[in-house]
Amino acid sequence: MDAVLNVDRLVKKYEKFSLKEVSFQIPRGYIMGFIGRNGAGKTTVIKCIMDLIPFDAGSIEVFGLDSRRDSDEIRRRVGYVSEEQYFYENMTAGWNLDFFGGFYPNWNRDLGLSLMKKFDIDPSKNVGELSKGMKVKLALALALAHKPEFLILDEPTSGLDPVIRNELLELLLEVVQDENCSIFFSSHITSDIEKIADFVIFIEDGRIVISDEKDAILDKWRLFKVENSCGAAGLSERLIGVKKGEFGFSGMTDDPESFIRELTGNYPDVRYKVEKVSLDDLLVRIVREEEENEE
Amino acid sequence: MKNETIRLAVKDFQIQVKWIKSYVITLLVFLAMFLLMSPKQYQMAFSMAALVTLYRFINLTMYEDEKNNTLRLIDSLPVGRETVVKARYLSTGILTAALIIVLGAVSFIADRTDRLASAAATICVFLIYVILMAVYMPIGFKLGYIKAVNVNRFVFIGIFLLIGIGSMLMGNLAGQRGYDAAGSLTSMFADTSPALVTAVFAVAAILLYIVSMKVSVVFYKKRELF
Repeated sequence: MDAVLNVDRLVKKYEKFSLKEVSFQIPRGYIMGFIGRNGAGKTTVIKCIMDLIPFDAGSIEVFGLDSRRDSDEIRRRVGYVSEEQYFYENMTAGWNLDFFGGFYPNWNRDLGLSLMKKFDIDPSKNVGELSKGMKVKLALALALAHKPEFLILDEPTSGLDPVIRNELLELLLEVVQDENCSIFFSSHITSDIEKIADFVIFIEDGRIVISDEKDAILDKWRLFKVENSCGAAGLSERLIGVKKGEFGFSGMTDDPESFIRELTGNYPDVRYKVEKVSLDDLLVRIVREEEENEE
Repeated sequence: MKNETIRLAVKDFQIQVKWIKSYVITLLVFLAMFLLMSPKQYQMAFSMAALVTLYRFINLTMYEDEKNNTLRLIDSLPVGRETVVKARYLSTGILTAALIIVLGAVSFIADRTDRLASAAATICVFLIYVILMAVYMPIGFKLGYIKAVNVNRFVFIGIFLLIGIGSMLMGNLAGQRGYDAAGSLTSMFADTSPALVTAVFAVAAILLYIVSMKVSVVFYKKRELF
């Protein structure tokens, strides 16, 4: 597989949090969604990839280059949009675009200006007068106008209204189709990832818990709702993110066939329902499971 | 010199364009204030006003970067941290040089009686500027604007106290042993070629500036921006 990003056993330790041997790859030309709740470690992984913070162990390669040794070369070829947008607020949007964009050797000013026009950003307006959504779009124009081979977006849709979020997602799909650019897109808004990602990684408490093709995840994982009348509660241990109620329990598994075999084999009269899951269901249940394990 | 360094140095001036009126007013206020305090000491008045301008320039560049968190964005660009430090020293150096040229010209034109003393005074002012910047900027790169401003208040008070105590001690020594330090310095200037004095002080100032820049690079490379 031609990987644009290869993260191998990444470890970063803080006093109260650490990344625990995080490993994954992103194939060239695809969108990878990076899902996790706030504080799960998404931004820390991205900062390590961009060599913005040091890490303690493991390795990161972008385009086959070492993230620490070749960080300048990598940054020339990567478009990065951070969680918060940092611009000179008292300067105009046009000046900011020109100033920051000028550091990229492939900077295309005309493309930058046309992107600003497309995003309805007035270049003569001070950045301080722009809304959060507009600032995200300005950051995107900056990230795209040097024709990056790889886009790294850290929660770009967070805090945006649904209309702007949708516009942004459509734009990202266009970028992948037209420019053959790979995208690493972190978010805790799972519906955004579900719309555009080809691959999905779930991170929880600094650990990768699921990493697969999005369709494979949605095909494999199933939600079981089992009635308690036959005493099948013991089987709930085979599921993750279990919710127990007065009349039964529910939980998820990525091996539904084997669970059904075991369930119906042991309890022939059991009544149960099987439902498809969304990435949102998965995230919520995974977080619940991790919290229960910690307790 | 890299294009990135020049681009960053030019940015330091561009982001302060909106402050120009305020700079001019401050300069005039300080000039007037010092001239009112001692009307004949116009050189001193101009030096102090220029020093205030320079100090303000450094503070405002750091303030704008910190307020907007733009150092984080710059850090994610293909620009090394060393370049960021060099650019700040370049922009500050350019402003210092401009102020010194103006100060030198004012002194040279106005004081036709003792141009040697004027040149020496200008060089002394230049050295004082460089010493203050050489102390301030590494602290700024290590701690960031907010902390650096507070730390530097004490550092500068300390420097001026040391200069004051040193002058007093020299004065006492002169009184006790008949040693006239100021007189010795004046005669040393008078006996030495002004060109040599200028060259020695200029080289000392530039060396100090370079050492300060190297220290700032080390500090800034280690600073956690995120």
